Amino acid sequence: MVKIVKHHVVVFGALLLLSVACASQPTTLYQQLGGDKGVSMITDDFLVNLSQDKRILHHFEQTDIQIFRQRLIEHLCVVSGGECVYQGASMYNAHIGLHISQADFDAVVGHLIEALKQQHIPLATRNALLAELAPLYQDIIEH
Amino acid sequence: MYQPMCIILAVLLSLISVCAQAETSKVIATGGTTTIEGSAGGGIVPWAVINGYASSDQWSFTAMNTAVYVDDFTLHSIGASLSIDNRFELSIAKQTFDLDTLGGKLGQDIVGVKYKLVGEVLYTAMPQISLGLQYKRVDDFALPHAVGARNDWGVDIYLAASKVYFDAIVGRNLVTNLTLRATKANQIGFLGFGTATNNNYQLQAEASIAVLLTDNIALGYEYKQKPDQLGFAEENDWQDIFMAWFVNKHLSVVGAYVDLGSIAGFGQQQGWYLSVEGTL
Repeated sequence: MVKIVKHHVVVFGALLLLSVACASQPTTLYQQLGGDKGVSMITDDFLVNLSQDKRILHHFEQTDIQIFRQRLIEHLCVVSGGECVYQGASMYNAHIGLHISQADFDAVVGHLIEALKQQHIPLATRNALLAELAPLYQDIIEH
Repeated sequence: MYQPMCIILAVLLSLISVCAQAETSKVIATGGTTTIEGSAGGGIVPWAVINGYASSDQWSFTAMNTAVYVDDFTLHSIGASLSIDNRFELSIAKQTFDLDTLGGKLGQDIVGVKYKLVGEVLYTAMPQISLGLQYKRVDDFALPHAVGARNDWGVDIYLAASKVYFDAIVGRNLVTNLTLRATKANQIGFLGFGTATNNNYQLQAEASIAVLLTDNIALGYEYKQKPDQLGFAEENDWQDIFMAWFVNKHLSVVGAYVDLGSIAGFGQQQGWYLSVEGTL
């Protein structure tokens, strides 16, 4: 009897492990952001938030927003491990001569976080994306 | 005691009304809270972060009111700070230390400056590193002198390194801080500075670690090493477990459970810390 119970426990345990393993199948950050559709919607909310901020709007006076939007989607896709090709300039080259201040950068980070929240992206996913984007500071700031 | 407090409050209020349109950009919680000594940090450990939410070419103003209730003593601290350019921080704090069981009170004023040397707490691989000074002067030197303190004023010098690690623990961001402080203060200055026989600086280590459970709620732990120079009674290191709630960029509340060890012969001084801070 004890043996049978033990056997059942083992089988049950194995099933439990399997179900947990299936439930936590590894997904890329890109998938967690909602894939193509999710990243497009995050980008659109982000752009709306940027467009409403007078502090930084002047940086976009010469910007073709359609192209900027496309590059942004590609960039977020690549950064989050999606299978895209980023066709824009490097972060460093893209910001040469724009004199992006730390205040500009902080404001943009704030708008991105807000856009992620608007799209109901969970905290852990937001933080994982910020972890990828934060080091770009060095390439974007003051040059 | 109340007169200077009223003056400070009046100055704060007038500054708030004059400068109510401060425009700031830093991400929420990145200014930390304000320590009992007036510098940005946790509750008892100053961090490398600059107080408030001013980024480059911006300024920010904070005002805080903190009370610490332990078994035989009550510490009150009221303070304010001005931060410029996310680079420089000027702070003032007025502390009173009520000797609830013994009777009487001690107090000191603290003027602090902090300057960010290098790094950005969120964005660079290198931690943000800041250098700070705290000038402290006791209100009444009679008791500190009687128990063996040499001076009624002193200057603490500290070097703090702070860094946020994104997505560090189950998707949560981790705030880490290490501070090295050179000080002559006895019980952070309430019992004066130096002793009759020793006027050397003591090098002390302080550390904080906190997890941001949400965007605006942090749960953390702090440890503050302290000198033990006065012969009349043992002085212990301090520690606390804190919960900070950054309600928005203008209001934060911190609650903590503190262990201040032995103070003036009274052992195991433990209790509650409560702090409210307003930011422009």
